[in-house]
Amino acid sequence: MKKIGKTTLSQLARQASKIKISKKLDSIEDTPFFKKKMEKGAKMLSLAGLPK
Amino acid sequence: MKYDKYYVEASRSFLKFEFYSEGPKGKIKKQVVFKPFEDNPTVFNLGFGDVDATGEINDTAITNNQDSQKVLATVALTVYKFYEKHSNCYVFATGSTKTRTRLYRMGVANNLEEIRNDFEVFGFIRKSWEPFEKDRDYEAFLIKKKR
Repeated sequence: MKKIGKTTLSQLARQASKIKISKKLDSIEDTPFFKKKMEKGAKMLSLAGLPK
Repeated sequence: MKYDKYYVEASRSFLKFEFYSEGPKGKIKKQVVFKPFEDNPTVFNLGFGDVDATGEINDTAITNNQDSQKVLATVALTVYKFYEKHSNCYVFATGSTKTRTRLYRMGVANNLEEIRNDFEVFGFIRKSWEPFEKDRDYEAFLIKKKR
């Protein structure tokens, strides 16, 4: 994987600003694929809290 | 990021994104979703994967579309967009398998200096968070945008 230059992250931010909105994506279903990840993450956060 | 990226669309909340991977396996719809933890509502779990025929995301699918860098760069783009509306929040990320977590770790490590211009990055190891370092076998990652 190539390294990226310092200026390129601001390019990324600029590119992000151009992302268009799609109303069809507005619903956030309780997708099953997330269940396991949410449990894993919740366990880590419960153990370690947030970084200081 | 110099890598090519896919055209992305976002929900109004900037919590859900969609794009199409294109390669030898065809055109495959992918979604990125940021979901807050119930007990830590300022921490959002980043999930992404292929959208199957039923419309559900499958984060264990192996697409083999020979575009993993382009896909990861596109996911990075969605993180930037997410922070336009959720600037004081954390993003939690882990792979659905150890191999994928390692892939994410490599992606962060290879771009670490630049990522640190804009973000604080932490890795979860031995039951605690530490500032991300290369070559550490992290189980998960936390990202926070610098103010």
